[in-house]
Amino acid sequence: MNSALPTLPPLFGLDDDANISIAGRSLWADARRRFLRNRAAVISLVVLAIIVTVCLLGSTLSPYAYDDPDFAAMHNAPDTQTQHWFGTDNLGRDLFVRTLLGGRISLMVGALGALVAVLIGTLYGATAGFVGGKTDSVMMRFLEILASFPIMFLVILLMTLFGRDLWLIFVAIGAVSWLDMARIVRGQTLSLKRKEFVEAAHVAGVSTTRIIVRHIVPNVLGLVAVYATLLVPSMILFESFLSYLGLGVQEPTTSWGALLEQGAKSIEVAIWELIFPAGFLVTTLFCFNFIGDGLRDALDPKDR
Amino acid sequence: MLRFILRRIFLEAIPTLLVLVTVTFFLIRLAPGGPFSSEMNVPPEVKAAIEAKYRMDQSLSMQYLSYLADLAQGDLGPSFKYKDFTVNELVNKAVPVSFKLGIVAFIIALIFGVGAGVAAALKQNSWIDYSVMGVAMVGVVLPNFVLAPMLALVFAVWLKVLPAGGWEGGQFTFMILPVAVLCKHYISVIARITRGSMIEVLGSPFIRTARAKGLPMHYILRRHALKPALLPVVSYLGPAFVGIITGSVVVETFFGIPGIGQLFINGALNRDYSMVLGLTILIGTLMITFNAIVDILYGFIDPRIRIK
Repeated sequence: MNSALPTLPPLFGLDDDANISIAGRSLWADARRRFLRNRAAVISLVVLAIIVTVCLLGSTLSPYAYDDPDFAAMHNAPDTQTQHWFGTDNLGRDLFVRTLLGGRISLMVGALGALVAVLIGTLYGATAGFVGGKTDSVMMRFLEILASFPIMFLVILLMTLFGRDLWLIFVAIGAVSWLDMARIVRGQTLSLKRKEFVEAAHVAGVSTTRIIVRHIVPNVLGLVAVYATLLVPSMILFESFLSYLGLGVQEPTTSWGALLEQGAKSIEVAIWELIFPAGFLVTTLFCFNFIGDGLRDALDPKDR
Repeated sequence: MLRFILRRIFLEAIPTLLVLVTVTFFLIRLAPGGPFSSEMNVPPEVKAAIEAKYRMDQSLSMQYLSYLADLAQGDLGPSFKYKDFTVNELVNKAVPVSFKLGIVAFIIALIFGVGAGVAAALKQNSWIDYSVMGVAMVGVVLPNFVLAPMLALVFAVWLKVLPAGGWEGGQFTFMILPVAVLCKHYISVIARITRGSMIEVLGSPFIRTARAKGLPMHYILRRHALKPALLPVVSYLGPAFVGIITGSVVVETFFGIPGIGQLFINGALNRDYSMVLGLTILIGTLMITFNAIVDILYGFIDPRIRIK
């Protein structure tokens, strides 16, 4: 290494571009710097942004509609001439448009499911941790009982009973995935409650609400962000799993899982029907995982 | 120790099981539309006979109690869909198949996962480490239902060396692809866990002492490092077991294997309530039992757990 001298780490909160004036660095500014240094995470963020944008634009990018069968063009290979960029499926519907629509549904299930899980989990965990005592042990007991349920099978059971409604999928997936979140937030709250800076705030006469808002929540938020990012791909996987088994979204609406099911069936005649949805799904899952890892490294300095 | 075991069984496992049975039972009974809505136009006496057979003529609480009583004797009741079979008969045929598939995948995942994890930890930051962790990352992210068709395409359609599906009583060639798909995720996770904890253990003072004494590395590994490094793996066995059962749903559906996963999905698609209820309870019981066993095992290995 004969390039420039190694730059010294900034001291006393001095940033590279800061003047002599001493500026404090907030937790978030610090985290952002660390995150941006993680190349895999940043690239994933860009790729993910592209995927999301393309999915949102959806049918405006193609002359075809997602539910428009063309029996003269079944299982057609990708072709730029006919503008079937990704080819057509078993009913001659344009796969490009359907993949993007599937992406929209999958991403929406992922985001909304994670949101439900984060809301319930954070509230439940923070309450249990902060109130403590009998309430805490009862709440945790309930959690343990739920955790030992065969949740996947219960959701399938619900689907069997109440029909396949997209909203039911959101709620069911979100409602069964908050358990870990609650446990993590509770643990964090418990340890924060006994930290010196919280005690100091108490002694200084800060009210409980203000302590929670100013000191507990910001400190839990990092962990919640990390976990939420990792929750989204598992929600997407869960939905794909259900759709793959034929228990998820219903035709003509689709999701990546439903497309994969169709693709797996016609793999011998039309491999593109598997390759494109699978590529989108796997890329998205990878991106979320890298971003989650990057966030964890950025927000949880202990782990480094 | 005995107190710990008793508490784990009677205060945790059994109440959880009861809650599970109760919740699933009432969920099914509250569902809109009876299981026989497809047979609208039957004479009233036939309908009455059917309802009597499935105990639909009794009050809800009576149905619940008699279901519990049957359940205590291991009887899951008649199937709503396959009229001539009881759930037990169908399940009994399917369980050995799933069991064989699951146990093979489980053992392979353990051997290869631990092996790869230890190798990566010993050669930290070498190409071995990077390739193990890279493959493990792919293994965690790539879903079963993507891997299964791809493997089938390559090995069954293109190379024509392995069958694309079927079971044939569990012949070796029919098991290769399903087992590979099923254990992929667990090899990856176990490798990651093992690597992490092994690196931690190898950095601890008692290992340094052992090395300073001049003990050969393989001896240190066997005698000192492996046991503490495998503790986190043991605690992962519970979730792994559950995951293998769940994963077998996709694998059995794709490869057309007549196990409980396929039975469950067919039950769900056909609205066979008693089948879905019975299998949910069966799988729940397995999971709860297995988790209890793992916890108790953990209590034996690590004394810090039982003093709580």
